[in-house]
Amino acid sequence: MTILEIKDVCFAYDRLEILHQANLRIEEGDFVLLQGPNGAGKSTLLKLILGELAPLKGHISVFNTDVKIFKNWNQISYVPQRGYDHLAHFPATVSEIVATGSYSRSGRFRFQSKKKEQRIGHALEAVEMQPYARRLIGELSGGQRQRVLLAQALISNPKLLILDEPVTGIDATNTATFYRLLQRLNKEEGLTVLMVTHDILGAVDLANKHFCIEEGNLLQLTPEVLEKERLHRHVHTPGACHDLDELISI
Amino acid sequence: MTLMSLFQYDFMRRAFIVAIALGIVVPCIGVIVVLKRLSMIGDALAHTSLAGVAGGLLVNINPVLGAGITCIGAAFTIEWIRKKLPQYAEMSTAIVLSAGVGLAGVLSGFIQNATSFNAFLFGSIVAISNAELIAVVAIALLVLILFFLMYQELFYIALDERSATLSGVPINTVNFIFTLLTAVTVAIAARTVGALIVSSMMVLPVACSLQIAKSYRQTVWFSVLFGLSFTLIGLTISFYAALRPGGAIVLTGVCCLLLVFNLKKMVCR
Repeated sequence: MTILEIKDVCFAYDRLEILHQANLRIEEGDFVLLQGPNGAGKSTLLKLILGELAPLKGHISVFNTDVKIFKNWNQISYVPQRGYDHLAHFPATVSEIVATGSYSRSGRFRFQSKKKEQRIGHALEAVEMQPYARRLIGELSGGQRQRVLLAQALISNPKLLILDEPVTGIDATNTATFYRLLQRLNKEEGLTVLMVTHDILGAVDLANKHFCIEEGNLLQLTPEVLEKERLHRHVHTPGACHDLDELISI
Repeated sequence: MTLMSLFQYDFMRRAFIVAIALGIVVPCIGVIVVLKRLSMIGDALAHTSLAGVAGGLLVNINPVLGAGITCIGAAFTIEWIRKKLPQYAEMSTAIVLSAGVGLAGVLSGFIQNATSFNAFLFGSIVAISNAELIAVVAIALLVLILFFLMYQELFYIALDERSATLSGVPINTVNFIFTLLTAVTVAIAARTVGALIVSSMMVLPVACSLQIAKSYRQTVWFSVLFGLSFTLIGLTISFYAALRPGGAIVLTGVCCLLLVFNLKKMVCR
């Protein structure tokens, strides 16, 4: 089943072209990594996928429905960048924050039912944060906060999980834990994942498809390119995309 | 004078009912305003309400109605600027505040009876008529009901507007209703505790609550508890010490905040 399809999408802010005839297809169970230098258009692409922006040309469909008329947003969950810095001072418990993720599923019912409590428990268990349920979010580390946001995203049982640079500013140990959790969700529970990251080397083994955006082009990185980068032990550098014959513009 | 002598007077009984209504409602609005990092919105609206009061006095309509209309207009202007300049959200309150003060300053120059205008600067909770009492209680009840009906949505929007949108929270509707509630609350509070200090009533209880609360739910309940205590204690002090009630309420809040800061420091040691 095709989860997401981007076909010949063009987008520009005023006259500045951000995306030029971008193509991308994500099938059920895929783990897709998207990389690119700052300002390349990664966040713009996410906004287009989430229906926050409309493409100038081309077509985007999620779950085989045009994103413009797509209604079942509870099938998609989104984890923002850097665990919202403002959460450090937000007066809410881990449970309260995770509970908000069930809004799309449970609608406007207000009071914590037993079923909802159970769902919160399961979501926290999935990210190994259950002992912290009653702690204030501000008392947790950046990595733990990011896992709470992952639980918030998972509570609605999404089919597609979108993550925007989820490990930026998080230490190596917590990053490794976060990746292990994502891998388990993808392999064992079949969750489709689209992750924007700069940590291409750390995350490369998680994904079965790798893309980069450079100068408006959305390009797929072949295993050969990734192997080269791994050997050179450096992160994909801007400008490298076009020179590599192994890159295919889809 | 015994404590009960307070209630011998009709005006004090009315004042206490209004104090209870505002003591509960204003901090509820305050929690969301503070968490959305818009603490100064109360100040901006209250100052703008003065322009409405002056306008009302000039054209002979009820000044509270004038305050309400300008507050609603100002609240939506703040929201509009906030959306236009999301990176500088706090600037929206400063712009509206300046415009409100400027307009109030110009219009107040044409008012013949300055006493009526001054009553709105520091409020006149003890000079409330029966009709005003009924209006304040009815509006406060309405605000409270809507606040608890939108409890989940307001919390989610304060936490993260983008995720709330993706989860299907009707953010435009919720923000519209909340803006309206904030404006109406500020307008009635400005009449009673004073336009110059209404924002303190919105922020001080929340500031105290944030020092001790261990969840969002507790933050709301403690804010209400603090707000209620400040208004009741302040009003009582003002009666016995012959002080302006609005000022006494706010100063009670400030003293309490200092006390909470120090107690927390001692406990943390």
